[in-house]
Amino acid sequence: MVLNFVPALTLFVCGIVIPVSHLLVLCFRDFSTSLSVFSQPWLWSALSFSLWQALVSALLSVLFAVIVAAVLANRKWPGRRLLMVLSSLPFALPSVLVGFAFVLAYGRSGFVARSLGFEIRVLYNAFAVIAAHVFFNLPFATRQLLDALESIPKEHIRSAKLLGMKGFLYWRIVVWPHVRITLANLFVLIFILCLSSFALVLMLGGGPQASTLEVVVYQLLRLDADLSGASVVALLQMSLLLPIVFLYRRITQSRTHWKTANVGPSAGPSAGPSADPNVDPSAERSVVGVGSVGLQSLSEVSWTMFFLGGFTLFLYALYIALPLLGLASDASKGFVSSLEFIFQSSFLDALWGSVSLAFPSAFGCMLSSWMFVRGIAVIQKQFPRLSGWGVDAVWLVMGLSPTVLTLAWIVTLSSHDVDVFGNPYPVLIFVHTLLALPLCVRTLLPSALSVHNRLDRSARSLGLLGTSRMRFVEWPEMRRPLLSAFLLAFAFSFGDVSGVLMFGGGNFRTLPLFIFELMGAYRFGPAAVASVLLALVCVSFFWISELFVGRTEERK
Amino acid sequence: MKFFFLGKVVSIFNVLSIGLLGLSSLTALAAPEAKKTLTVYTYSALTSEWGPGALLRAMFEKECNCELKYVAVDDGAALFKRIKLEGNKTKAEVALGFDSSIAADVVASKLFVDSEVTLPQNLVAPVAESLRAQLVPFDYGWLAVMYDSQKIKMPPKDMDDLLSRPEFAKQLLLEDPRTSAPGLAFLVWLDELYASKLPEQLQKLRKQTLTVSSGWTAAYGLFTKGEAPMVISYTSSELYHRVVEKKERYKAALFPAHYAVTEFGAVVKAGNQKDLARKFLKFLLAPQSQKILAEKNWMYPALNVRAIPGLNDAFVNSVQPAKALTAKAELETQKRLVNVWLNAFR
Repeated sequence: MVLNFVPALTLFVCGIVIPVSHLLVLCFRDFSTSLSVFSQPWLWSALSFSLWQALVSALLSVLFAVIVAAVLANRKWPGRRLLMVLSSLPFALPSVLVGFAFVLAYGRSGFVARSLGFEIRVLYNAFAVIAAHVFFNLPFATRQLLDALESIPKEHIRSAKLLGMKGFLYWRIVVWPHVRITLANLFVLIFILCLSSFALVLMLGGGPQASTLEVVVYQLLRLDADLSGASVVALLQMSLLLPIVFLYRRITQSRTHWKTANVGPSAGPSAGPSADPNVDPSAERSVVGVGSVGLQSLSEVSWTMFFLGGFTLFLYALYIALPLLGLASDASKGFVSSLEFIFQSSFLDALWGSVSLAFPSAFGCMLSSWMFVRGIAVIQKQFPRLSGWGVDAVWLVMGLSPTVLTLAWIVTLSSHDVDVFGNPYPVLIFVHTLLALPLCVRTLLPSALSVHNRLDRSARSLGLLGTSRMRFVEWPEMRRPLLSAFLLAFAFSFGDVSGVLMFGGGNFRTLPLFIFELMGAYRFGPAAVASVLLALVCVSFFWISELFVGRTEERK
Repeated sequence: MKFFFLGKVVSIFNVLSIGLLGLSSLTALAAPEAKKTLTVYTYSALTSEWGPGALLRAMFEKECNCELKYVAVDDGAALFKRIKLEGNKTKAEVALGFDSSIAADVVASKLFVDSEVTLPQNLVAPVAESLRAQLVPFDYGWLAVMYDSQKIKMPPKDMDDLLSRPEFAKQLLLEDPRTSAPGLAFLVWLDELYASKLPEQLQKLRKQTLTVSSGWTAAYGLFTKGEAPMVISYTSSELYHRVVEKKERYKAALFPAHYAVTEFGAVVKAGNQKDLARKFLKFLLAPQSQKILAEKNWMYPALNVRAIPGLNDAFVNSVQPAKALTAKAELETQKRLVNVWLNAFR
């Protein structure tokens, strides 16, 4: 069992503990100067802005995601799969491109302004920042919530109907136990992502009154080369997470809910046969994910639900599609010549660079986080405290400023004479695997716990252990969350700019870097086309994997 | 079952992830030691596909029988800070691309040694006397307001006009001085013009500003996408639009005096290829390198345009500002200015 923790622990120790302790040593070497950061007046305004915009963004994203996912769940809306594929897109876009997309849609001369025929002024304030953060995070939250909602065993829903449960009671007894952890996860995750947001905040915020702690970190590094001051601010940013993580534990670790939700059905009649891979699983089986088998046809939906739901989905689709349409319309100007231009340049090399970076890091990340969560699932009974700490550590690590982390890496490696710039692939794959690990762990944790609680006894009685257990018991149940984790890590690695920028240079290129270099050389037209191609590559990749998982589920 | 191979992959991954760090150090060991390698730290626009980096490397490698390696960072300021952070463990032999706004700081840092390059007679890039021993200028530009002539018929005549004309309210795109080189240089320019009156002038600037981006790329991107008709950039941006896009739409507003931004290279003290490094800086001032630098980096050559055979006519014929402002700001000044700016804009 200990083996399960090896990959993740190695990643954490080599990737975070070593460079961060290196930083701390630097920090304490001249402690008094490090602390002088606190006397800066702008530090506190940045702190409060970071905090409140992240809170509001996370709240709104999760709230809207709940509404959209509730409408979508278990119903056969037309274009549902398309919508889900579209939803995976914003997450893969580098943040400056999200900023551009937003401006192209809602800016003074954007898509909306042009179709309305008059200039609109909604951007360049704190609300624009929040709206962009919602655009970035809502689709991803919706996807995750939808997975959670559709993992509610069908027999639960049926029993609830038999008992005549409706409204709040239904929600409280049937739905809440299944989405509780996912909701908490999403909230913390989005909070962290928004907390360390940087380029987007400056671009849409309209001025330094809207700047986050990450900007202060960057400023300290840039203006003063003040690594110790920057680490102090980075640690401060991390400490902002403490109350959130505390809250998270309160929500996720109340044991009474746990039992009704997950341990309960394992005693029921359906759990026994479903754990046995040799018995053909019947349609009764609780399928994790969106099997097209279990979807409710729209004709069974009430009219009010149909109109209200349809309207919600329309608004949602519009919110996601408008910025993307803005990008597309920007790219359509001089499309052919731009296309020619980028194919004459090293576009294909950059694409290949991105794929050969994103694929191994996403795969590695998925596997190591899978192993990590099954480890957690096993020890949670014997060592509840330890497993709790393990899970919290993942959160806190994520809150550490990426700028500082990457820099700490470079400083540590180059002080040990490692040539990080000679061949950046191993280092970058490592960094991406590490940075996406919390994302993947979050995605996998709820279903891993539920699978463990439901099927552990049966798997043991069949003598299924180690990899054969992963293969026969966990893979069929966790197929969809595993795919989500993989895609998430893939999108993260595909869209990353800051890490690539720091380790890049020379002949090494990825697609986002290529786009940035195009813009740096005034080629904004070709850059727009390349961004659309980036989006298309992501969409087709997501589409193919959706089809793949969809088909294997139908075959069952 | 599709994933029968999963078990093996998992165990391979165990080994892999442990070995990854070791692997990266192995790649360092495996590098051949036949030729001398000159590592140049520079900013990313210089090494990009469309920048001058690749051509210069090819030319220099032919001359020196050595290998030239670029390490690219964000921009000039980030470059200097990276070398400062790496201290005497740095791999850099040459630092290429910090500009005049931080040059005083670079010299004061004692991280660089004398370049031993005699600056040629026909050098036109503005270089302060105190910088000449250590820093070698390779190109320069004039910080300027670029404007969209389709939207602005009467461009600002000078800084006062830009800051006080009511019709320019929320028409200007700025870069943040905390995170970008032109942003800081613009602030130094304003300080040079207004000195003690800077806070009031910044209040006016705030009224004219639509948004403050993190860097040149984002600001100029918003400008070309039509969000606002004015942006802080360089006069030579106009040349790019004229030469490559054949467009006269985007123009630089000519003021009586402009802040001159000279870009420098320097020999790193901690390096161990100093002769080769000096040779490289000298090579950058040769006419053929100057031509590549100007035409690919969209800055003016450090030498007189007439001393460079075959240089694009657009550079030769372009109108230059009458007067150059060459204020240099030490670290303390930079910090003070940023604080003043933050107070005005908050």
